[in-house]
Amino acid sequence: MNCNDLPEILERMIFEDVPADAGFMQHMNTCASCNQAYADAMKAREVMNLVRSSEPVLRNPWELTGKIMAAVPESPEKAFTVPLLLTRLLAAASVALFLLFGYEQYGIVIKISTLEKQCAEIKPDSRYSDLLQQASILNISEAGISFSELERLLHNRKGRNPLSALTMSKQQDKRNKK
Amino acid sequence: MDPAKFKFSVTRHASRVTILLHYSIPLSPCRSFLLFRTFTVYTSEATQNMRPENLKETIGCIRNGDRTAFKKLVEMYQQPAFRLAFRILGNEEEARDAVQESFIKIWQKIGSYDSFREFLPWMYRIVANTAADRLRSMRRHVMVPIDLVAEKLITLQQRDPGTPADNHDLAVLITGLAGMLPEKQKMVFILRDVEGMSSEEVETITELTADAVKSNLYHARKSVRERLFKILEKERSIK
Repeated sequence: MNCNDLPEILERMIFEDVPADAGFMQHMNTCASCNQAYADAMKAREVMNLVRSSEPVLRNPWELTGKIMAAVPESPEKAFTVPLLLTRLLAAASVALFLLFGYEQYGIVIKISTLEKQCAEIKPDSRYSDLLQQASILNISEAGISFSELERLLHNRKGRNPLSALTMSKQQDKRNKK
Repeated sequence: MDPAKFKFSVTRHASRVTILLHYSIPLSPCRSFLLFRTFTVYTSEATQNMRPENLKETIGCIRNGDRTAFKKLVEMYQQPAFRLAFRILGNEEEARDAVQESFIKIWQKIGSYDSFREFLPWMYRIVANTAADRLRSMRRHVMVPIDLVAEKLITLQQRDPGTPADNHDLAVLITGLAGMLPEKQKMVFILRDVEGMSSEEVETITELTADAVKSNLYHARKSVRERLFKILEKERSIK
């Protein structure tokens, strides 16, 4: 036990009313500064005990009760409780929706990442570099082609420029419709 | 363990008595390890008169809009509510208003009260939050001159043991000790060290984490200790 333990011991004494242990009491007999600090802490403990034990007096409690009763509305608010069956139905519906759309979203993410990987494999100086510039996800969605169609075009490296071929085929479709 | 080495100390709070049982294990001639355990006995009228089963029944009636049952609850719990609000606000009138506002909230929110939990911490949370809101609208940091705090301390110490403390003197003393603390530190200090609640109760009421309670309490105690020593120094000079 030494002077470094003093703050912790004093704090416990003042605020938690825990008495100092035998080791500290022994140390105090040989240390004048700790002895003085201990005497001050005893007085501080008395003040804290006074604050704790002094109950503030509520004057005219009936008057306060009357005021409260006059101020409260006619009836308390009813807590909103969801029936158990409805809770279970909502839980089942949310699981079903998650499975349905979550799986679809997962498929789309996988396809997009595969396409991006394939686009990245095309060398910038190759004749597919135009496609690399234009075959962003936005262009794919604007061109209205399917993923499998684009995948086939990207793999077809011996053919013509796949994007121009695609544009030509789209224009042909429009003419046929007219 | 030698039963003769067990010692206990009793601390009387306004609404409870804390019995501290401690046992000192000597490790070396100048070092020992202290084991301690705290027991709390509730003494306030509210907790004695309102048994849990009666309280559950009363709350059930209040949920159905029974105003008589609510009046009974107000009569039982307005004193502990006032005590907490008074200690946080350090002002009698503000504390009365905070109690009124709190009970209106209790009436309105009684439907959301979970009857499987204790009522008192739930009520204290509403009172503490209401008092904290009022505290924010009041001046944040109140500094009371140390001379005045020391004077009031002497008055409080010299009163007859059976005489209740004067509210104004108490307000000056509490504000003198904790008035300058930031809001969270003040709440934690009042609940833990003045009201004598456990750390878990303080966490529930303040909705702070265990670490936050510990940290706020550490800083609050440091400031209050410094203030206490200054007040005691002034008290000595007056005497």
